[in-house]
Amino acid sequence: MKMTDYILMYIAIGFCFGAIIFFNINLQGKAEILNTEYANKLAAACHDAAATIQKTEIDNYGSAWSRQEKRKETLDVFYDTLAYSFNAEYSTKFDEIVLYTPVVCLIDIDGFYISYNVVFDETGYVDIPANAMDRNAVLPINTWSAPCPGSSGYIIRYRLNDNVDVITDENRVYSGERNEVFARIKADKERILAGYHADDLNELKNLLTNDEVFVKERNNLIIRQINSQIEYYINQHNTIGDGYEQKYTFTMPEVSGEDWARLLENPTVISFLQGRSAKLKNRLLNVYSLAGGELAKEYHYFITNENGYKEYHCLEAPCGGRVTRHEGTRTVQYYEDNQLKQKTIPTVTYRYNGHEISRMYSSMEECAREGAVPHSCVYDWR
Amino acid sequence: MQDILGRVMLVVAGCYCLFILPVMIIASKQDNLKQSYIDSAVTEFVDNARASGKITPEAYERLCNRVDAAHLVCSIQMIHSSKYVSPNAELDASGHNTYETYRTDYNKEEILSYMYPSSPYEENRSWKMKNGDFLKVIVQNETPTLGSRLSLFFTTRGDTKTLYTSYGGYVGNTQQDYRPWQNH
Repeated sequence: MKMTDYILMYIAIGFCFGAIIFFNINLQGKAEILNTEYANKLAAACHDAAATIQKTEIDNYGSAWSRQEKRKETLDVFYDTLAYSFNAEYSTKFDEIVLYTPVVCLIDIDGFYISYNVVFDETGYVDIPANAMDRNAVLPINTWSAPCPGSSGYIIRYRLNDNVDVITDENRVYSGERNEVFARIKADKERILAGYHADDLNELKNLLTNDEVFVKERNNLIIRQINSQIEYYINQHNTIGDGYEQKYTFTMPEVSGEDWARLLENPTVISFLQGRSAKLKNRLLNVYSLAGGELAKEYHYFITNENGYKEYHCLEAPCGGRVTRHEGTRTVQYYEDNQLKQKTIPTVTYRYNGHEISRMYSSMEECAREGAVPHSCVYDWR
Repeated sequence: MQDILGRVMLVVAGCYCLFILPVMIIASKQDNLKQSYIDSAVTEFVDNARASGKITPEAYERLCNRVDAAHLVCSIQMIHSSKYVSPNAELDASGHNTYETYRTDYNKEEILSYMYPSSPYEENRSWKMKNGDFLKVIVQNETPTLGSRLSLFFTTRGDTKTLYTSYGGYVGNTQQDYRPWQNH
């Protein structure tokens, strides 16, 4: 054979192997791109759902999703955004999207709600309703409650903030900020119980008044309960796979520690997207996304005036922490029965570096209109 | 003579087609894979920072680890643009000052020097941002990839910067509700 024949033969063999390798690499690339695309779509849906968290709702009702209308609104926004992202809002593919999201968890200040997409009939078998909206079952609130470690008879219900509910062994309920709750329990025990000993409340005191112990106990309980509930419903979702030819198993993805820390501070939406659409070497699409209401807050600004030089500061910035609260009294005059009288009323004033703050503004623009220049704390949050 | 020259050229072309061309094509495909991998890492980092309003040391280290996993020497640039409003000397019709919006930029060195203090007695801390700020991250490779090196066979001017990702966005909710508050 001539040299050219050998070369042609090697080119032909190389082309055959190369075609397979190129195809495999293309597949890898497409799977990676698809995974990223699905993760971004899920993140967008979570962010839009978290945007429905309103601070006024938290101020008025104490939590973001205490009303069913708010829960429905958040979940509708989540599924709508997901459907729009997949371009499936008016097609039957919408049902598939709902099947690929086994769980959506709304973590509120006083508990968490699970919305899952498997419905069971009265005999315990899976019943997948024809209407996708009916599949979405929202459970009642799951609270974070546990007995006080080491102390018998006290049950503590935790929240994301420092408020607790304590149920004593006499079935009395104390609610409020944890230090105040402990003080009330202690005062009641001293008043009611004869032979009461201060050591009886040592464990409760250690839990409620020690910052480190309280935060550690509360966070461990919250993470453990959310994890177990989500894992349970993700595993339940495996029954859907029984109805189809291809079987795949949902598993709980590992949520990073940093993401847990985020959701422990504010109301949060966490959701999962799992399925076989981007299958590669038996690895299935398995992503989660969470978005919280960390930034669903207003900023407050105040102006200080020193020798005619006006500066505005931000209360939420690090320098805003130097604002102090002072309680005092003020005498006011009023007319009653055509007589001038005066009375003393309590007042609350806020001071920054000894200067009284007369008014709070809600935007930088309002402060600038008053002629105040920004203090460095407005733009430098170090 | 011509026959020998033809044979040499054929052998050279054959070796190129057999060995270099396939490797070059595979390497360029690998570059595409690495590009999408770095894209997803940067997107996740920026989206998390924008949603949470802070850059944590853990998030930054995770980004570095993921960029490292692509087996490339990459440069990461971060720019945090912090918004503030300053009054002008002119007054409007209502007697209030007019104002302009400005931005102060912080680069990666300033951000990292704050997040990782040089004193051993201080812990690492997060870089905080507020609503309306802008965050951008740029990742670019500094060393040429195998695909770009092999493509120098064809191109006279080699471009080593073949992987480039730039992603950014506004932090949090850019709208603010108006709610007056006063001492009582």
